[in-house]
Amino acid sequence: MFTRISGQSSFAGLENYISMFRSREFIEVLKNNLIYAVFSTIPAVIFGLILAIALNTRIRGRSFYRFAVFYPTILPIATASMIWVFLLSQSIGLVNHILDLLGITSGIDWVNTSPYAMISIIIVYIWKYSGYYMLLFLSGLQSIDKSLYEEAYLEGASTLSRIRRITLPLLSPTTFFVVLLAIVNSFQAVDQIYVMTKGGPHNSTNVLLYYIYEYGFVYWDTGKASSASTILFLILLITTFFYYFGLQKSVNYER
Amino acid sequence: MIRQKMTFGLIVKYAILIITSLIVLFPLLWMVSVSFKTKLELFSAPYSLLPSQISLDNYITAWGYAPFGSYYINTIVITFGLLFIQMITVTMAAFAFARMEFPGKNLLFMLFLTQLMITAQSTIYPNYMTISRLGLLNTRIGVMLPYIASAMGTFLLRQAFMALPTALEDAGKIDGCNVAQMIIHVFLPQVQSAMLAFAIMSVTNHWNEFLWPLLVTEDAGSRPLTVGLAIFAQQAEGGAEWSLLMAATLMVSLPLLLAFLIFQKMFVEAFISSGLKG
Amino acid sequence: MMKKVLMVMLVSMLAVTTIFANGSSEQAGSADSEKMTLRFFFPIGTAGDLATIMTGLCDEYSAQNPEVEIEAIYAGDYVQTFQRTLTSSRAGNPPDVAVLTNADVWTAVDEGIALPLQSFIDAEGPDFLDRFFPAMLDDCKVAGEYVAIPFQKSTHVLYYNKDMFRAAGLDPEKGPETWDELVEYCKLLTVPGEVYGVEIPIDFYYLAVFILQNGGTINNLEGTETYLDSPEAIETVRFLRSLVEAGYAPAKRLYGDSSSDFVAGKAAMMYNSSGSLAFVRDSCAFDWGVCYLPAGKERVAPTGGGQFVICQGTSPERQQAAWEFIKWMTEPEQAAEWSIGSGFIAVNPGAFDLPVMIEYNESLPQAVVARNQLEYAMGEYPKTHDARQIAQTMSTAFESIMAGIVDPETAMRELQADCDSILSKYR
Repeated sequence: MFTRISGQSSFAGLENYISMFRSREFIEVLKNNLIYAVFSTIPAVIFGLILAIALNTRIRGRSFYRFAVFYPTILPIATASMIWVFLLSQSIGLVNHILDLLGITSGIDWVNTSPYAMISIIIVYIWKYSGYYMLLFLSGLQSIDKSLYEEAYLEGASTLSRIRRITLPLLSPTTFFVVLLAIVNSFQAVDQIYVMTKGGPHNSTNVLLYYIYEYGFVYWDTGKASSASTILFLILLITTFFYYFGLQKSVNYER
Repeated sequence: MIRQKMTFGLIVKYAILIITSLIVLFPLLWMVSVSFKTKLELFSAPYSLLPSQISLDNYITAWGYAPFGSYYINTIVITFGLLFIQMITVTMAAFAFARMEFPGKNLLFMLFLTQLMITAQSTIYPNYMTISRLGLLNTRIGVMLPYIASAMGTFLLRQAFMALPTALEDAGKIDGCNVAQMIIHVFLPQVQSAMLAFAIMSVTNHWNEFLWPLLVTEDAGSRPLTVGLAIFAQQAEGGAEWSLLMAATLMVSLPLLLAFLIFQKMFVEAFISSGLKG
Repeated sequence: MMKKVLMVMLVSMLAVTTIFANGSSEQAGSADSEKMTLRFFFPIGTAGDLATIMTGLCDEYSAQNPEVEIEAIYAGDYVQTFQRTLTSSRAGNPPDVAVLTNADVWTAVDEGIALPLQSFIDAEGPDFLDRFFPAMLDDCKVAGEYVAIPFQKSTHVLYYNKDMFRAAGLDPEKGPETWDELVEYCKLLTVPGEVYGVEIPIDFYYLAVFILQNGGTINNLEGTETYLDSPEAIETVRFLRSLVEAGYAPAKRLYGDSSSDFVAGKAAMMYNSSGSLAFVRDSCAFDWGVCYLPAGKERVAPTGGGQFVICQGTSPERQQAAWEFIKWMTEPEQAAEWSIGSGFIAVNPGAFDLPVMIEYNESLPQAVVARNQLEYAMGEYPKTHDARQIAQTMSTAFESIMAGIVDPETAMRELQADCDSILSKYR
């Protein structure tokens, strides 16, 4: 569908898809994107959840914690990535300095070597989005009936078992949305890659959207850029489908 | 609410919050500190927490190296201009979806909502071709065009409109309002908090937008701050001007950070309502 | 409260949009019919307040030539400058002059937007091209035909930390002359976990430089074929990989990170652009020097940077005016001014006899090394069709070799195969 918009007539696009799926590079890009989606989504959602549970208590300095954890969400990710390139610099970066002081490791060449380059962009994702997911969980938590906790408390249930027995099950609709949102976010990642790694080293952080950017706007290869756009579109469409499916259900459930 | 003793659970919670806050906050503090250091200081004592002196030199130099003034104007025009247009389109669409009956409404709404997930970000290539054909490359309008209809805003407002009682509409009809008057005088005043939530989301998103303006803008006449900064940072053959870069980064992020600091509650509300319900 | 905030927002938005909404729409060609306004797209490839210097130069030209006005448009980095040149040309509104990097000069010819310049050069007389360093003209030809004129050129030199040389018992006035000496020096200078002996930017550019130094070739004159699986090329990457294996060099660096490591005392030597001289001078707390790049089988000094291109699709009068402007910009005075302001090497040897340039070279003696090295200079590679894509493919392969993920021979074979498939459509 996009090939037509891009000016190619008829269905010449099919050849593009075949040659794309045959290329080592494209398969690598898909694989990278999958790795990125899984390993950024899971930790960010878990951190968000833990933080939300911790924050959902009568605790001193709530708004400070909320600010501290949430502020990366409103920073431009292109900008945020720049801070991280500096923090992660092998020779004068603070991260290595601290790891060294703690005696954990020394001299990791973060953005320049694999797999650390991928880990670097994942770290930025987690830093950027955990606070947002925390907020979403927090609002989910606040809709849980407090009396349930009172009861469990009187029965002598520990904090952990209250979390397991009440919080997690009742929070599952929220979790579902947050996870989908996180997946979609991970497929739309490109700013931090443009700033931090340019898809390197040796293609190890090249993801779908960056691939589209590179073919479309650096190499001016219309066919490949359009075909890759369609693939990305399909992936997001499928995710979206699940999202609404869930949305429809949960709305019915609430009303 | 349960009485809080200093239980083990509570201590763990405090520990988690304090440690995480420090870690997450640190990059910001570090950026501020580096932005005041001189090059010489940065490379001879890279880990000193505080700069030896507070000087605005890096800010002044960075400001001079790139046309940040035009970048600011562009970002402001794009962000707020877009919000203005969106307010109009979103209100009309939301009203139609919430309060009017027409065939195919549900299907249309589903299609509309697809935009929530499939943002302009992922359709950059076809969008670029469209903007290019329209001759709108390198204009602020070109940057704004893909976003003039916002699914998120429509969704938020539709929910808000739907929650209002039908009596409101009847009252309006009795007073002889037409649809436009009804929206402006009767409905809009009732949904201010939804509007505000949407406004905050829209401004944050478009202030921070990067890839799309990177592609469609070509010079300081239309280029926004984020893109200007990235270009400033990518000057290929130069050295690593970290302190300048951190100063510039701070100049770009400061307005939103300040707004967030002041209106923390509103931001939080906005992000919650747009994230979950939409 | 909420209502007020909303009102203020709405009103200010309205004001802002009405004032600025059309501020950026592009005006093609000036309405002033007396004056010819030439649009000139330029990139900034080094740090510094270059936009101001460029505007100053253009204003000076406009003042000297009342019939022409130069509108200098800063278009971003090289990639964006080309993007803009291409899209404006396709939209029928080409710039008159653009500064493009070698890779994009090839694409500009493929896309039919660059004007062949041979007739202009012929009209100037047989010795016109003598005003340029010969090596810089390399990057101005596509498949042997002139389509560009040198403008902002840099060369690459070896930077070294003299304090570390002294500590290691090396002569601080003499850098390594050959690849073998480079290895020896690295052995003496490397402190595992602390200091790298040498840092080399790992990208297509340096891959090409090292292959050329080892007596190899990158591509044919027509730009339709690469020779990246030649024995010389494979031997080259083996040598480079051995530096990483021995712990002398990191697996990947680019220009900015190398500079930052070097001035922080984390690298004893680095390969880098002469464009970093000013940065290193301003950031170093120690004694440093530069020397020629160590020679392999051959001594090769690479050059890079941007050249002027005149665009197709404008009137012959405009093209002639654009040519006059380019000529003026490359005269000794202007070449010197741009060189001093930007750190690029003046493209016109005559510039070096001017008092301002002599003074500048005295303040930054390391810059003289860069100029002298031009005797051994070669242009930027790859010089092929689809050069950006070939270059990126080369960078990716180079990175995986240096990281030890693929063995050098296999990687270079695969690289050659990838380049073959990219270039097959031009054969």
